[in-house]
Amino acid sequence: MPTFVYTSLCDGCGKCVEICPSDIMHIDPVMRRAYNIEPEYCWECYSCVKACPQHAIDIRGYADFAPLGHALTVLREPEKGVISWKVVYRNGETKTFRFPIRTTKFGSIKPPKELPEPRPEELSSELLSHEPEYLKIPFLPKLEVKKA
Amino acid sequence: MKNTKRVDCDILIVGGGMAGCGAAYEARYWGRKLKIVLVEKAHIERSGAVAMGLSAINCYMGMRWNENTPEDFVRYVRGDLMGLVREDLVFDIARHVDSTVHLFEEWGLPIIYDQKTGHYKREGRWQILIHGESYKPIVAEAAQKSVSEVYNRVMVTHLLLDAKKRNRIAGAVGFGVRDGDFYVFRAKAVIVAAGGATHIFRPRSVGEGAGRTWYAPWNNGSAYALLIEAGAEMTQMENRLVVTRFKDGYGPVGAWFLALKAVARNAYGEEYEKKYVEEQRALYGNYVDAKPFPTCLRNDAMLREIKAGRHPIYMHTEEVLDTKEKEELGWEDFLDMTMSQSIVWASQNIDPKKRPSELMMSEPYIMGSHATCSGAWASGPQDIAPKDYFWGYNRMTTIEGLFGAGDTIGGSAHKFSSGSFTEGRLAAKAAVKYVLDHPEMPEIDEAQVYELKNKVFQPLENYEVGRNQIVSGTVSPSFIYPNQGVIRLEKIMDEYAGGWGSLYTTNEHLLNRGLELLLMLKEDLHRLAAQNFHQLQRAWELHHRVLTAEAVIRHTMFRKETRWPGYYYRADYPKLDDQNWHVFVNSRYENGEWRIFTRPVYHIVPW
Amino acid sequence: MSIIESILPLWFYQAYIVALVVISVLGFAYDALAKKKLKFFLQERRVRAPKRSAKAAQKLSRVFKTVALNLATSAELSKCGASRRASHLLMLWGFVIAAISILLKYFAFSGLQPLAIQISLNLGGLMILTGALWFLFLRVDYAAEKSFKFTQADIFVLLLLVNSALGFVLEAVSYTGVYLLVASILALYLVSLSMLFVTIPWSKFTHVLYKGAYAISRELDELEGVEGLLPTPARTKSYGVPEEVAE
Repeated sequence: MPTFVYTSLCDGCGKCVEICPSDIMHIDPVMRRAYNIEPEYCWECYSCVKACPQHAIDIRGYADFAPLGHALTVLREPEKGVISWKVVYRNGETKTFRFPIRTTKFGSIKPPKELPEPRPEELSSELLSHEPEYLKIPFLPKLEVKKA
Repeated sequence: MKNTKRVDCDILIVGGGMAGCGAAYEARYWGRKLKIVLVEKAHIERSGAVAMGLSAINCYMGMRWNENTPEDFVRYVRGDLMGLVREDLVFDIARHVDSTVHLFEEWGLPIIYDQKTGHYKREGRWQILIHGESYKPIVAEAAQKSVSEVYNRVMVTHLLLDAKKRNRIAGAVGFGVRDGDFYVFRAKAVIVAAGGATHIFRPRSVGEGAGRTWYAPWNNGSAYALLIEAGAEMTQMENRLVVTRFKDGYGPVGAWFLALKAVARNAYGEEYEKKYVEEQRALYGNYVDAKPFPTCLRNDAMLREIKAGRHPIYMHTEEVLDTKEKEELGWEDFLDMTMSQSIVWASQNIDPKKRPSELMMSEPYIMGSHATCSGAWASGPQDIAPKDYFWGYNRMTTIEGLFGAGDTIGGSAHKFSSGSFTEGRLAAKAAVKYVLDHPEMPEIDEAQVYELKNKVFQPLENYEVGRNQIVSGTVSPSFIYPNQGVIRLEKIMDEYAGGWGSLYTTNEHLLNRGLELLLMLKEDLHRLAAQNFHQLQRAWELHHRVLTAEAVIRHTMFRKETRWPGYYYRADYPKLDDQNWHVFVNSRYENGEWRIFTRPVYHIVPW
Repeated sequence: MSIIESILPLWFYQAYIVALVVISVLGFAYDALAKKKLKFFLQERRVRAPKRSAKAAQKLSRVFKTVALNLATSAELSKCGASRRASHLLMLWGFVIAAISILLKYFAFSGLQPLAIQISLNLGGLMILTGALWFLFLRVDYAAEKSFKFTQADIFVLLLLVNSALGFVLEAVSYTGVYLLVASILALYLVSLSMLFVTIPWSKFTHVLYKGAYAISRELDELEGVEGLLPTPARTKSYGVPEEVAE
């Protein structure tokens, strides 16, 4: 089953239920802990794995083609701006990788309403917000040749 | 009966993926006082095709460093799509996309730099490398800070047209996936930024592995079905996409081919990509000379090798991982966006430094943002679009006030993530202008809303009543479950409309037979059963998939040539026919009837 | 002396409490043995590969620390939200306080209820009642869907709620002095309380043992350097810059 949940670790908080893009993480009626109700709609996107505060969710590659005995676990640390992955091969070999995930703090984006208001006539131009400055060229390109 | 929640707003954005988030940000920039509502069937933080992240941005000009011009981009996309694209839409994306990417960088997306040049590190001519695991959360943060309200876990099932002016949008209806409330959204402008379609054709893995489609399994063609049902004109629905990726895990190959310069060879160690150029030239003309070699023709070469039994086709990763940095780049390519491929390596004991990995062509997908451009026929930008391609507002469909962005819009290929976000911005600015020009709130047809409410929840009723006939289990003579319907759909399309099981080949007889079976499935949709709200979501996803599939079959039947070999073949018209078919194939679905016709392709950028 | 103590003899209440304890032990044993949970737990522990060994005293100290600082404070739930932890603590300590109060009442005070016991019993009951009611609104189905769909997993929390509520009803009714009324409520209460323990093999009651055992097991693993499933936390040069990219 693509995602699965460790009974000993899950506390049934529902954060995985909240985040799953496929709506397949739900709460088991006997244990009141999470489980994957429809693995054939699981993309192994790891959204639930990363969202779980107890690290109770893990992935077992699709039985269609992935032999047993492997693992790919993740530790996402948004407060540090990095993510770490641990690959465990079926033959026991392991590799760990760490990558940046963001250069700014989470929550730091300036809302567009705090930008200076555009002038009414700008609504008719082809320029989008932050243009032409953020194009980093002086003018928005125009097409030289036009066929009607 | 379920509660009805009514939401009035100025702009409704359907779908919170890359395009929807772009629309959200830009709509607020231009419409400071407008009420802007975004509705998303999942959770905006990780919804859509970029849920896992991406390892590259595939659409960036680099105009600041004179790396490319928008004209170059149009030529590239036109070549890749064998001549048939909306050059105005493509140029428009290209000239704006750089500002989108620079905005992403400011927001915190880590873009990788080339230490020697100080420019972004190029993966390929149009692609740059990123540390993109949090790409979606970053973009979603901007969108959440822009709109008046985000409705997560609400699936839009139908668009609403104005009660008085039948060709004007009025809003949308849908239901809450958690609480089952019925939602009626009324809006002066609607931007559909929903998903393209997977699970229309049978995937290669059919057990749990069905979840491992290359494009997201939750993208069920709402972008198309919502518009088709409303009567909007669609284009290029026959232009399905087949991608060559690492086998089974469908991991990306871009970084391997372009940045690491790995080579693909057949089982006998031969390179094959250009082996058949002269045969291809005889069938498909001088498009074989396009640089780079068109995506579909690369597929075609691979398919010829597979038919001749010269596979497995291998990507020789072991030849290019000679440094630690390259090994990290190779692994990050997967870990940022397709972790499943890493799992294939780990589970099958494949060390990419020591052995090659198999490549395979995927099952077909219907999308508008990749090396493909199915979708709505939309107006282009006023300053560039030929007269025929412009009707008032950029990215507005043929329905007044209904805009599209991302996978929704046809004719505009190679947008990828940054281009889709950019298209969202373009659609939003135009939508704000539209709202200011048309400030009156549209009128909802209450009778239609009442009828739709019953229709939306019908599958729940079908189950609760119908289950009394059988003891237990999944087999009922009077209803089917959504997943049973998806499997039937996938079999029909695979066997009759050119799925991988048919080696992507079809003909008029097959298409007619497939359509006959599809129409029976369409009728059976009235007897879908859902046991809970999750299954109800699956039921409506199936509705949208079936309507999308019908458009695919009808368009495929109409185009009597093989325009994109490697995506699909018409065995009865095996050649590319520029004389008769250098046109767009468009359609409209009105009052249950389909009209299929052509529109001219204008080339506004010189070859 | 309360009218409750005059309806049935002391030895009955004492025997009833002993019976509840026996049923509990049997229930836990059945759950752990017949469902092979103990076998699984021991199997997992057998394949761990400790990198260092710890002395018995160190292990014991770690066990006490886990019980006192983790289990007693429901620290594990701090990651799931403050409300979840708070409601859980109310139920946990309410149960402990109420249970100890009952034991003292019938085994140390021969059924008498000195003021301290009366207060602690009511306090325990109130904590359980509040905690369980709060938790019912916190749990995922209600929080997300606003629907009270009760499933097998809710047996434990519902019985806690019912029993604590019934306990207050019994107490209130006992002040009326109406023998038949009190006797009926008492009978109802004794049956209801039994359900809480009889349903152990099918309810979430057993998590008390397993969550505790696993928490202790994880702490001992950490003490003895057993490699965890997850990658180790990253060291960063600065925000967003990991020290090493690959190991």
